[in-house]
Amino acid sequence: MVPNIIRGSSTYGVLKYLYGAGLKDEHEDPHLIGSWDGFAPDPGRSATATLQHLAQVLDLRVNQRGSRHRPARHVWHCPVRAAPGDRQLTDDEWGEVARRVVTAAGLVKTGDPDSCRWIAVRHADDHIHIVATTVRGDLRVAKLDQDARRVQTECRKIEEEWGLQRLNAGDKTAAKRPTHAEANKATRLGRKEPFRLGVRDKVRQAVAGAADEDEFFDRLTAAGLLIKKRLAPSGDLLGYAVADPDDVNGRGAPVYYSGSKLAPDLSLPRIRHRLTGGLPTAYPDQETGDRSTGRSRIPGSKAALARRRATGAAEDATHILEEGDEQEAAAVLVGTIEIIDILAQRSPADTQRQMLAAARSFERASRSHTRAAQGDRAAVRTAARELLRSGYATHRGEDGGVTAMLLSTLVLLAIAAGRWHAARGHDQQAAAAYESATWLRESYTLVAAPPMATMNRSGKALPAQVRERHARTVREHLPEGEHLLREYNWDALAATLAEAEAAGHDPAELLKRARSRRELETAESVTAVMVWRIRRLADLPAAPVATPAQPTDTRTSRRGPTDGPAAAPPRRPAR
Amino acid sequence: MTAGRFIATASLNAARGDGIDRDPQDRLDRAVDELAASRAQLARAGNNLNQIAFGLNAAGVLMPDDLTATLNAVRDAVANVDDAATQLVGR
Repeated sequence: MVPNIIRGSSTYGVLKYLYGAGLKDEHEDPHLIGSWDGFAPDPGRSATATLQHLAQVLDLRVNQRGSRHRPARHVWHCPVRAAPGDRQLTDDEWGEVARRVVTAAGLVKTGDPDSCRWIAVRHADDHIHIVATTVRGDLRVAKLDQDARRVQTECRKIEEEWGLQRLNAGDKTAAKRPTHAEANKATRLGRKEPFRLGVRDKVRQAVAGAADEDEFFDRLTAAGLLIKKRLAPSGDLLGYAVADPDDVNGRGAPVYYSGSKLAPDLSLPRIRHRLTGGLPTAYPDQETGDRSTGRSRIPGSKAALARRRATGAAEDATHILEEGDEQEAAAVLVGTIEIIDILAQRSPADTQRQMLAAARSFERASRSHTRAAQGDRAAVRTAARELLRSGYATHRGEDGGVTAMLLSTLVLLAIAAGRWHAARGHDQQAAAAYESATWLRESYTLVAAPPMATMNRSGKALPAQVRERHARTVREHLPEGEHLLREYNWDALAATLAEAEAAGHDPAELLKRARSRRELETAESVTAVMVWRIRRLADLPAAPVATPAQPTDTRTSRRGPTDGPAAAPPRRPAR
Repeated sequence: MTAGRFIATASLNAARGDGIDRDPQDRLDRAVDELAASRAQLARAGNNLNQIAFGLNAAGVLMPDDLTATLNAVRDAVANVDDAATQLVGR
């Protein structure tokens, strides 16, 4: 049950619409289903009642105040719509809804003869319109502060009491939705969505991984947006607004959206808050490679390396969501949307749609009333920044493998975010996080298919006794080992363990470490998650070429672990 | 009516010692209030009649003609009250 309060200045105008044919001729049998005293004239049922008559009766107290004291927008109009899939309510039930809504809004007090006059009109199966005038019988204007919030709360109560679909309660941290007019404009221009959404994406992407304010504004410009800065008399920057150059009003001037009107956390003060504290220095050079031998310690391009590190940061973030304190968790959520935004921006065409959808859903999950402390989001934001600086990655070879590795972790992170919000009663954010996880999983499935297939092939090609040995290890060291062995991706896990062993790692030890990192109950395929975790922990290539036992393949001999130095390379320090 | 206006009227009335509104606007406001009160009374009676009709209908009894006529009379009376009030406030 969704209420939507609209204020207006013409009672007759809104009645004419309600009793008229509708914009697309969709109004059917308009009639009153309730009014302040049950005896309002109903032009839909009575032959003598007219719209003008009804408007005059509603406007009585407004007109009595005289034209000089008429409040500016005296019409309180509130359509209340049933959620799709709800049972059809009767006229009497809708009348009860209307009564409860006007009471919750503060227009009507029970037993108060001076309450505002209101009517409720029904002209369709799934919704009603409540129209009230805000001047009370004692000629004062009704106090309607926070009416929207109170009406929403009342609707949640009705849903619960009547067993209707219970919608997710908001907490005033959602981004502003495109208005009706903006949606109509998009339809008129033949665009698939209102400008506001695209502008919001671009601003969010511009702040993702940004080091300071200047960089943020440079990236806004680079994204093709027009910027209008608001300056104080002293010359200090107070705020900003951005416009899509294609989005013009009737006079041909661009339509600007200020940051806070795009999303609460995109206002300049909030962006400054996010950017203060800076970013810690990048990872130590040593990790990137061994200069003396020229050998890269971890295979892959610079982008792949950044993604591999982001995977580590995302795993830690999941851990913080499960065990860290509130402010840390809030910081992690902000960092996560930045990582997803950058991936969405850099995503090749095949997963672009899914990644953008994931970012748009997670955007809602990144905000709640729990605010991150300043400079508290170092690790995840550093990872985001490095992703940003490392350039583009394709979905082929090592790049694709590492992207799959990162996406696999992000799915679990999004689910952990959903659980974090759900535990705190943030219904909308929890739903958004789960939706985001679905989109991320869809991209993951696309990206992970080729490397997984290769690994499964290598796994199948392993000698029987090697496979048996790894199966034994898995059975011994993991509680759910039996189950893992039956999963489709078991071959890939066997191949991974074989590779790790060849690179000088102890498979049992790796399994235990991978297992100890967070519980896996939320994962769709535990084996797949284990494969990626072990590959990351052991610094194995994320997209090995088939049958790693053959060192003739040049790529394998250059990057692969099979012909690595006799002594195992030093392990990465434990986190 | 604003608070200031109320105080002004009330103190003037007290000084004059009679309870009659001298200000035409006050007289009009009072008349509109009376009409609104009558409308509320009529509606209350009408709602009772409606409930009787509903009860009879639920019991399967045919609605007596008197009841229909009375309900129509209430509706007409309400319409007349509305007309009067509309004329008083103008527009």
